[in-house]
Amino acid sequence: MNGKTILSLAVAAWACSLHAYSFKVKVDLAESADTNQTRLAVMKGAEKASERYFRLAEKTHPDVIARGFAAKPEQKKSVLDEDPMDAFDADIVDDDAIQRFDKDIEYIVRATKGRNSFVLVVVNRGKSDLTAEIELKRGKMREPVYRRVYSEDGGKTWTTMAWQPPRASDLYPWTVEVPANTVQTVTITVK
Amino acid sequence: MSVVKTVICSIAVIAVATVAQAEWPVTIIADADDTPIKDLRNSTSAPDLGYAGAMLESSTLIAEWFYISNRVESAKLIRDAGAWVVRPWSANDLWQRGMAWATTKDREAMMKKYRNGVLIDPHAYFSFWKENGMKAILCLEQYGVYGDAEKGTRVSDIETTKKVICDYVQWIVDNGYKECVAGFELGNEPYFGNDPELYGQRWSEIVPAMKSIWPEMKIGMPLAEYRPNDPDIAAVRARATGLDWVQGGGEFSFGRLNQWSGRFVVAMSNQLHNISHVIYHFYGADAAYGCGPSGFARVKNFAKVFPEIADKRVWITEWRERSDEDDRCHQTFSSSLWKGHYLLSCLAQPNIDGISLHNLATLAGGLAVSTGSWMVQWDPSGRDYPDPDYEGVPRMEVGPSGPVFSIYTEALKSHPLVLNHGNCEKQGKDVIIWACALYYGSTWAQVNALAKNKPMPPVKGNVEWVVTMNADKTSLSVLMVNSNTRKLDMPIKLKGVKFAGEPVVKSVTIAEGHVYSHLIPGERPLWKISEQKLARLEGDKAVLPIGPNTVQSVTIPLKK
Repeated sequence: MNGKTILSLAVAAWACSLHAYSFKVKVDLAESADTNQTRLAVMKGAEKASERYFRLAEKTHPDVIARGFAAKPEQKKSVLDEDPMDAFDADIVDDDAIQRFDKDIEYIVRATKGRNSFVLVVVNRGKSDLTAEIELKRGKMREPVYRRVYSEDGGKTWTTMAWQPPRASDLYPWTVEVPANTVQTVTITVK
Repeated sequence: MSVVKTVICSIAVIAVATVAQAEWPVTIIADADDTPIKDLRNSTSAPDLGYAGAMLESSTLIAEWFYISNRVESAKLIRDAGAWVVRPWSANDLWQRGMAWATTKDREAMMKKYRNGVLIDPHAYFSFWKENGMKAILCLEQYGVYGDAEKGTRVSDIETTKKVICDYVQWIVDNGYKECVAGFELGNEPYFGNDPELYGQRWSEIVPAMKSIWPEMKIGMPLAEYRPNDPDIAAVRARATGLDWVQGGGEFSFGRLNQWSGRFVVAMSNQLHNISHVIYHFYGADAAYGCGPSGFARVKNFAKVFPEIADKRVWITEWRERSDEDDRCHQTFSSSLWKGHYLLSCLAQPNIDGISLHNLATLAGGLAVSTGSWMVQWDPSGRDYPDPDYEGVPRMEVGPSGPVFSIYTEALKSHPLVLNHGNCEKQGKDVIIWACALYYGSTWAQVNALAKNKPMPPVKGNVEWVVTMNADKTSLSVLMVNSNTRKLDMPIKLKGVKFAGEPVVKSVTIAEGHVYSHLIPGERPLWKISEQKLARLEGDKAVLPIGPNTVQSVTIPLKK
């Protein structure tokens, strides 16, 4: 590895550190269902590929139990101290509160009727790779199933990929990758 | 140590390292004049690499979808999963029920009676096997048969049992289905039972009667060769609470199973001339267990102790890297790569014919099957994958093992001479077979490190290969697996023939970073299958490139 490469990597790492951050998603499966079934807006061209995953999530996990935007890093602490449902509801949140969120990263949490599984439906319309840290109020999470819509050519074409990472880690809370310019559903069963 | 000694030692080490480096990777030798390790044309189960199960064990719904209502789609699935060899369990019971089902006037009553038993006209699957050039190893059971299959009554007297099994054989002969029967297996894992003498005595009465109907038929007798802590023992014990050895408490051990095998051989001593194969089931890919070099050694050791079976060929009618204690590990591509190694090792064993991965119809095998959820076989935690796209009709697609079997078997169907076996480190019959066990052990070390967020140790991958040729030696096909994380150029040298055309490479590999990801059925696979032609080859030397985490066949025209 030559000096130029090392310098490039260092610059890239610095650039990432400016943008990449994690946000928390609090999940309480005892939460009652939200009747607002509005879908998340996705990137242009990604509608069709996203549609199937949205539909699957709605079919298997009919109850919306949380929704929100990612908290911006500088506002992270104060936002997380609040109830995300209260903070997000447009009727009761003023403009200042909305500014605390990165509206490029929007999510919905859906649950099964039996509340033994939930799915994080998340859109990252921005250019930064993020991670979501899921905090589950009760129960233990099993390995997530990722279903991701992404583009490798700057948004000209969109494709899908689904997988389950190897073996459950004992780490808690669970960390979910939310790369830039992706739509994904992350299904997690709870025991 | 003196300075002089240190210098000499250092020079020696450098010299050895230099020589070793110069020989790496080892050149693949393809000698057309060599005596083949084996000729698959002599095997009734060729192309030998197949599956346990036959889409006849789960439900009538699946069997009808596969063999009656969707035969064209099923034929494509068979091709894409390389499922040319299948093995139905309890084949005679299945046949008896099916014959009654085909003629009954009250199907509704039979459906009620057999809620958990498959009902399908036997002509449906035998004709499908025949049309598609498939082979079946038919597993028979003689504990009892249906006295009246329509009503579901059972009898166990030897005369009726013998008659039913012989009627089954006669039906196969009379209907022209001999060509799709690789042979008969004398029971599924009978060594978990209690009385090898009675078991042998009953088969000794039935076998000669079967042979009188079809003298050339191949018959295999099941043997057990276990080791302490073998994963299959615990798995069988967990699901078979009705067996005497569990109820007896403390009596059960791996040694008891092995004794059973010896006593069964003795009990069958008057019929061994009618036995063509011995049959093993191997579970567990760790070095000590059956799926790998230890399994091959067990077969040899048993034949030393019981030389009366030493001349028998071998079927491995069930195998898998884990038993039921971990059904979900099979959905990773690392499992497919391991299978890529193990299949080549088995292919290079001169005494082994058909080997059947357990099993065709679950996520552990060649096909993924959904009737509302994608079936993970006997997962004790019930973690079948939900199928949110299910709309009341069975859905099937090729599973993670399928492309590996498809690539290998397609090559073997046209290249039956198995000539040489090696890896990038060595060639020769004794050392190469460890590649699969070494790779498997290192994958678990990596997965465990991942789960604990620790640095991953390096994978102990290898490039393993088997050279095959067609009968007139005008074409060569090299079956290869690369379980390393980097591309390798494997040198190849021909003897007795020369290259005469463009190599065709058929390969399957995995998206970067996903070798340990579980594949999600119903979604676009993470693996990538490709076929490409390389530049024309002439002469007797070439280089065969293989990418990281890849299974491939390279087929090249030859001339004398």
